[in-house]
Amino acid sequence: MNFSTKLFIFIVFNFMIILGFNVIQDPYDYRTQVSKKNNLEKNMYISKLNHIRKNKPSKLIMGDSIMADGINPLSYFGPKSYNAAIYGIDITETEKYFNEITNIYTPENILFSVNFGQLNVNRPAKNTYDHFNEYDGKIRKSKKYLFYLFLKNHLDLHALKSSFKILFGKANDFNLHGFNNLKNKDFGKTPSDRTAQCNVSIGQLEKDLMDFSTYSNFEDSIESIKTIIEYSYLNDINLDIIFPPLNILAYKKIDELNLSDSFVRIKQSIDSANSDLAKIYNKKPYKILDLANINEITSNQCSQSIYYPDAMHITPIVGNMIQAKFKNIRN
Amino acid sequence: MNFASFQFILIFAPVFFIVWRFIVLNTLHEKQLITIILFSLLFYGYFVPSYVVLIIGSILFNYFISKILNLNKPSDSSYSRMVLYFGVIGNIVLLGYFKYTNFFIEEINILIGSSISEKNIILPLAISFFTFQQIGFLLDVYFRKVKSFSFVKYFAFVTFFPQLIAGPIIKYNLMSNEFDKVKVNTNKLNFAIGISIFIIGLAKKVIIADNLGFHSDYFFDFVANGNSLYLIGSWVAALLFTVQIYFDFSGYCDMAFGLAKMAGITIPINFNSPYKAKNLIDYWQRWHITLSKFINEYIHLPISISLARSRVNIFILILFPVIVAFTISGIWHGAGRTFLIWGLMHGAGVSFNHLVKHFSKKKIDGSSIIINILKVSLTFIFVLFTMVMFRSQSVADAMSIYKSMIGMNGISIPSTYLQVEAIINKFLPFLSVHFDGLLKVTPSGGGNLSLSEVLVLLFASLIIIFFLPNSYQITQGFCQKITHEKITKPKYLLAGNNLATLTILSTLAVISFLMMNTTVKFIYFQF
Repeated sequence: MNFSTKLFIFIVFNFMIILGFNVIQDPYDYRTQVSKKNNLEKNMYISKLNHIRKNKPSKLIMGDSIMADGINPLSYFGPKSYNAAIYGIDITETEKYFNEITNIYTPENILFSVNFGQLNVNRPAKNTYDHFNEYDGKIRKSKKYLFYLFLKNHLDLHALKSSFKILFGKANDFNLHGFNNLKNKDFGKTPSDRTAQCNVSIGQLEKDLMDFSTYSNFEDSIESIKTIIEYSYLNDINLDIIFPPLNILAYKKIDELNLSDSFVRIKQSIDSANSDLAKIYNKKPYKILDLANINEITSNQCSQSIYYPDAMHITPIVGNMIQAKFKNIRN
Repeated sequence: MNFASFQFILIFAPVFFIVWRFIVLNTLHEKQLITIILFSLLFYGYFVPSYVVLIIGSILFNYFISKILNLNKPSDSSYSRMVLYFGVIGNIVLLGYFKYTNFFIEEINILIGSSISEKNIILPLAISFFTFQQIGFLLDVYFRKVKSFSFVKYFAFVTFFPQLIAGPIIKYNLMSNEFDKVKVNTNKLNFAIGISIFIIGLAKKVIIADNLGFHSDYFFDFVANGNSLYLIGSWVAALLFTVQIYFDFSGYCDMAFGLAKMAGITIPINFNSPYKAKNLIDYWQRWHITLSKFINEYIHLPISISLARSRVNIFILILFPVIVAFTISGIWHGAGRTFLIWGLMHGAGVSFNHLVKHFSKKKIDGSSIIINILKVSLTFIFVLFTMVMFRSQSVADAMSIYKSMIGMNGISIPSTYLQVEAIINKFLPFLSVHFDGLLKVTPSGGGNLSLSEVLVLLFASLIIIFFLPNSYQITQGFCQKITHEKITKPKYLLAGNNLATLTILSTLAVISFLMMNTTVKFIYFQF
């Protein structure tokens, strides 16, 4: 056998080993998680929806990256839970996502987060999710496409790295519970790095909100939230609503942009809609936990706080605090 | 089509080599060349289909001119010279229009304050390469170095896809000989050598160059956005790009050579461990070798001979041709002041080398290891400085990085040495020393950069550059004569038909495949 033939066989053999190894280890929980670095949000949407479709977890976390990175569903809800939060998703997209989920089954519990940044449907930071239906439809329609995705994602260096992590017991909760746990490396190492991270996130918030000045701009989002609440009352879903605690820097920025009043009005609207709908459907109003103000969590200095990797995201420590606070409200 | 892409590796190359083997074994010479032409046009047209018309037009024009040149007898020299001028100027006008129109408009606007709007011209891929190759051909026909040629062979010579996009710039006679011998040379040994070199090139590009490029872009974009780097950051940036372009171009050259070799054609080597060069003259005999040869043969030498006949001062005789040659080399690389200055920097460096060589009476002992290390290091540092100009988006950006490299935009030192801050800032306030941490590279931290990862990658790359044999040396394990050029055989890391070679090459191929990102083009594709 000549050299080139042997080399070809070696290459194919190496590919088969990697493919087999990745299929066995299933690093991204393939049928549920198709995480790729360059289009994380898009794939996160598809993969998390697929996971939900397949596993029908009874308890869900919903929201944007604040929830995706900040709440461990296992410690918050326990077994049969899943962190369905998606990076960059806005409220109107969340409504579509919620409809997709509830078309499949009815979850028992949902922790539903409403972040101020999510209310701007034109926020520059987000990727549009409109094309996801088309993309997701493609997957459902075409087996060839699904097979292509299967190969593409298993013959991938990131997948290989993750497979090794799983092999050596170092996999995080991401592939099992949709929870992208923050690692130490995600935090700035020096105070100045942390300060920079905090400042960058505030810059992002400013971009998200810069073309919004009045309450009326948020009306679409408010309507979406009402729809979700109404559906939940109708279908006996236990909804916990939270305005997540951003860092004090974020509230200063919101104040600087003259949006504080709008923010308060939005919270009041959601609260009154919740009460009104509870009355209509003769239910106990859902608990709303408002941590989006200056309190003992948010007033921590961003660059030195164990609660914040940056000004717009929370650590799982805060996730546990939220759980305790909801417990207190109920009691 | 990019060599480092799924389309090329999974579809184009396999189809080409299957068809090629069939054609070579079963058909006559002409059909082999037509196969090359068809696949090459498909390869070229994949980028922008309409530019296939441009390259065909350019080939027809040059073939027509060369036929006229070939028909004229030496006695018609004045007529031939006019035809030659017409042909060369025609090529330069084509290149100038596509490559330099907007540059000149921009410069005129700056100089006279006019507001002429820039043209919407997209630079056709490989135009600098195929234009220079064809100018060289016209000159060779004029000087009777090429005496007979056919249209099909000429067409295949210009378009041969492994060398079409980014060189090497090949001479007709060499390619003609190679085309004539394909039936003999299309064999298993050459295929094995070719595929081995191709895989090494692919790994250089995908595993090293693209990863370094990701980080180097971060720094240069940071500066292009009006920010300045700290001392360490500027050196890291310069080093990142210097190493990135090395592996990017070396990877391309390996892949081009490997592909041609697989088809039974040996093209000249274009890259021969240039960072191991002991001086700049040596460097230019190792980096983009065929361009250097072209410029030397058709620009530097004629000017030198003409000046020597005029008995000019020795300084002018040495400096003038070199400066002209490197100015043209700079402009050839890109339409912009940065490229022009980059060319002049190298021109100055090479001139200095020539002057030292000419005037030094006592030859420094070349066998001393320390002297050699010093020579290689100095040459590398000079090249590293020039690469900042080459990569920067503007002269101002480059100057900002140069300032940073000598500490004028601030130095970051470990905070444990805080007590030194007051002393340094008292006596050397212009340095604006900050104590933010050893590895802080920019005033806003390191962005998404994992500096430890970058330093490991850089360290590994430098080991490969300075201590390992190159691809042509490694593959000498298959047979002694792989290239037209003389290559020293290394004492270690020789490839061959053995388990170690198969394991290493297959692993490199698979990792490259897994890391392949089709959006990252070769740096030299822009020239």
